[in-house]
Amino acid sequence: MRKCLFVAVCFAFVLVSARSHLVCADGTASAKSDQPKIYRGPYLQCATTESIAIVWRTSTDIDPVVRYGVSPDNLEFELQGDQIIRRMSVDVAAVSDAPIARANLLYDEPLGLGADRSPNDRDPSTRPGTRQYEAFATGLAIGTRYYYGVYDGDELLAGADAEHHFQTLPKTDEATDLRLWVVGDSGTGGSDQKLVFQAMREFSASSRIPDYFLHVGDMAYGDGADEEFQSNFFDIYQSTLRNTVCWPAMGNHEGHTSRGISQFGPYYDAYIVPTASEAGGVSSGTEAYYSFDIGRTHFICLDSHDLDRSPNGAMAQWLMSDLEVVQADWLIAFWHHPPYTKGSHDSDREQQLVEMRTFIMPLLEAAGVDLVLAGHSHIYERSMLIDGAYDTPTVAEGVVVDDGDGNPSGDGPYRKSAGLQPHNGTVAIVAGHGGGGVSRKGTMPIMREIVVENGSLIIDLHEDTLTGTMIDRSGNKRDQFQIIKRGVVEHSPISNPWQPKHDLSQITEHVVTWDSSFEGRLPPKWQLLDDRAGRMSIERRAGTPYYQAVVTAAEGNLIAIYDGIDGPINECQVYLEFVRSEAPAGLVLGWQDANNYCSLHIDQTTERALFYVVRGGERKALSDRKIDVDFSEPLKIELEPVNQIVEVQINDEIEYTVNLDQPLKAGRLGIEAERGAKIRFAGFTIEKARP
Amino acid sequence: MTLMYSLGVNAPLVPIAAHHSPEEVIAHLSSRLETHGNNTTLLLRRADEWRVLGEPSKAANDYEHALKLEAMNPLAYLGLARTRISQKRYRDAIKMAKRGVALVDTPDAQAAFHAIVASAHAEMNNHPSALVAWKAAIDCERPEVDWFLGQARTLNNLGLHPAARDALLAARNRNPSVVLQRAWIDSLILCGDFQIAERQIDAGLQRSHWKSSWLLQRAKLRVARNELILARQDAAAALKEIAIRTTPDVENPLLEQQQHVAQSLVLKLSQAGPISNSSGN
Ligand SMILES: [Fe+2]
Repeated sequence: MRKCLFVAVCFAFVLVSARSHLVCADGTASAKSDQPKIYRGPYLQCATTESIAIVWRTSTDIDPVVRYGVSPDNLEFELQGDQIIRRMSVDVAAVSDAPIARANLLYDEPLGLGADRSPNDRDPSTRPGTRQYEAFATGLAIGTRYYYGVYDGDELLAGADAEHHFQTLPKTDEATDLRLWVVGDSGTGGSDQKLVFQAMREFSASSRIPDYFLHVGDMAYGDGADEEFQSNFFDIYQSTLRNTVCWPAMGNHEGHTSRGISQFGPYYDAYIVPTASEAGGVSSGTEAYYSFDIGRTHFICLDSHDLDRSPNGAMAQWLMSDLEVVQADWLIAFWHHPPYTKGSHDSDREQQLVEMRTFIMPLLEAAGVDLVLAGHSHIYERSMLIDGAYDTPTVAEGVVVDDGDGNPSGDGPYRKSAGLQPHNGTVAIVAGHGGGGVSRKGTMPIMREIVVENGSLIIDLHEDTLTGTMIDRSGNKRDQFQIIKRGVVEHSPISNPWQPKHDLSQITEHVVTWDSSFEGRLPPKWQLLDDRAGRMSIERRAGTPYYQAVVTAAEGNLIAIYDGIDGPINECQVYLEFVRSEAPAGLVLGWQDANNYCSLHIDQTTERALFYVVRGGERKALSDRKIDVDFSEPLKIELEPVNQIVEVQINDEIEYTVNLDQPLKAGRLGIEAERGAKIRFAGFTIEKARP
Repeated sequence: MTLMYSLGVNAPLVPIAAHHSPEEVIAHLSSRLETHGNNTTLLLRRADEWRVLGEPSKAANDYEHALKLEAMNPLAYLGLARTRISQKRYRDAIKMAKRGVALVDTPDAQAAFHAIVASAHAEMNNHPSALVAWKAAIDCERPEVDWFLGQARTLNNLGLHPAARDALLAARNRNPSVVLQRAWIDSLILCGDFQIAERQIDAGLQRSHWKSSWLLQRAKLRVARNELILARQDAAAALKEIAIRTTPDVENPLLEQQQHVAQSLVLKLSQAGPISNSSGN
């Protein structure tokens, strides 16, 4: 808990930042009086059996007070003064009368980094004028619900109602019913994230509201900047955060600005987690990885992003010690980079994923872990009951111990021995589908359910039964499995287990790449409509290991059609660069034949983007617009057909919609270069529509 | 304010789509570099991605390229120094870290560079130099557990066991990590402070469900006390437990390390006498 770390705070005093922030002379940000004083929270952190932290932020100075009690009508206890830690943005600290300890400063981007930041990116620093208050209620009754309100002196700022409550952790020697909400890779702030949240709330309203929220990382795209935390996490989930503790794991996107070493940045400013075994387990001494007990379930959170994952590293050594003391009935571990995935990431190839599998999974399974939860890969993948799958690449043979679907109304629940028995079977889940665009690159052979759709996971613990339910963004139940732990169950590995089909039609993301074997020729699956018009061949891009296609339309209009994918698509993308700019060139969509297709043409000479449709051999322009882009670099072109419109994006900057005169027919994709054009292209990526 | 260049992984940068794999990010960065040409930020970001893919020499090329463009970039030095450590090019690592440390100006920002210098010296058995660097690294607000452990190892390598013990105790007062506690117990045994060590170990055994690491630590204590039969019993009990927790022919790097220690203890102490049945506790 941060409180413990405060003991050793060195009093390095604040130097005034050279950067100017927009604040008044007295250090208060100019806030309109009708705006709510609290702009973040109140939210709950670091629950233990006898304490909790209540955290909130304001843009003005207040006299912070928290009142709480077992009924919303009688908030008989009060926190104030030293029971509330005050932290602040550097501009506020700079004008503070009292010296401010470094640990109480909220994140401010180092000057050297700010200079290098693209103007399109957010300043990751804390909003100027910010005060963060962390109130620690201690001496609470075990497993008890309290209601609370946050005040400025006597003025109520939030709570003191039925919605603002917290619960101390239950006894660790008694089984407790528990519902967890597990979300990953949600932090876009977009509509899919909100739908996923809404779907969970609707599902829970009719059954049980989650007791705890586990976030497996990537909660604030794109860089974990403080304002991104605000808009993509706190603003969206506040109705849950005010009465449900979120136990976080840091994702790589938070890692753009926050660091596991020394634990600083917006992520570490936002969260307070146990570091000194306040909530069970053994002391980690760091907020980067930690553990806690809720009833008879032990939870472990690791930093898979930027710390040493090797067996001799401090994290693995701590994990070993922590696992030695666990005497729970259930063991759940979570972190960001999944040990098994073929969603938008590949656990056979990426180092963090490989290392979590080869170094960390053996330790957890030797302690009888039940569930391993991760995100990062934007997909839902849920394994069969597995054990000992540490090899690279991951294979199913000999590591699956129950190849059923685990579904009580299907093949039946997975069975395990009571308590925590070594190597008794694990279910590994990737829940990276919480809001970002989902995709699937391949097939992970140990998976039982693979769903390429946004959603989240609900885990229910009731006595000896754990139930996992995946709810998609539309509120549909897309997967359900159970683990029952009773008596003694022995498993042996299945040499030839059931495996998910590697059905190409299910692979959504299709990236066209070439290597040296295609050099100098037309690659397979590409055909030229009229090979007298010009040529297309693969060349190595100078100074790089990458290959690209070069298209020259010397004698006529050249159309190159790609045969690798057919059927409806969500999106296609290409990087296109003009070598000679005399004539336009672009991307072909919905190709039926030479007389029926659509095309987006870029004309470098006139600096225009033209979208036209060819129907019955007749060409009709549907959109023609001036584009202000830098032609000296490859243009990133993305087309997203939705019903009767096509969303066009150029360089992530220009974005507009083209209305079609009739719905787009699914067809092939290709490249078109008008006579005189010479272009190169690469990064040809197609996302197929989900069935 | 504070220049916290603590870990030069990813500078905040170009918004690269969240779900892209390192290869795609690299391809994207490469195409931007092709046309933007010399951009330090893009090079640093690509270097970091190469490291994720386990391609240290490609990472090093990018860091070096970045330094050619911007010789005063501490993040490039930090990344390059870390890469050199992974390549076991320790002298280079020290050179780069020392250049980098001169470019940042607070103890927090400097700590990560000092830690690299220290671990490189330690790898080359330059213990006095390593010690100086560890002390510099630890002189910041939140030193990493690994740095405290590194300092203690270096002190032990210099034969300064009481100093290592005291440094670990001081570290424990700053950070409650159980990993520091275990290292401190080892150092107590080395210094002959058997009673304190025994109390710690007994408490650990009491608390633990799985006891092999504590049994091995007690075996060490018992060897130091010349209680060889008891030591052997502990090592044998640890072996038994590890066998229950591991699957034959399936790797478990950390438990295998314990297994090797236990096996060699049993072997070394095989002359000490028969193992009684009341092993472990
Ligand atoms: Fe991620």
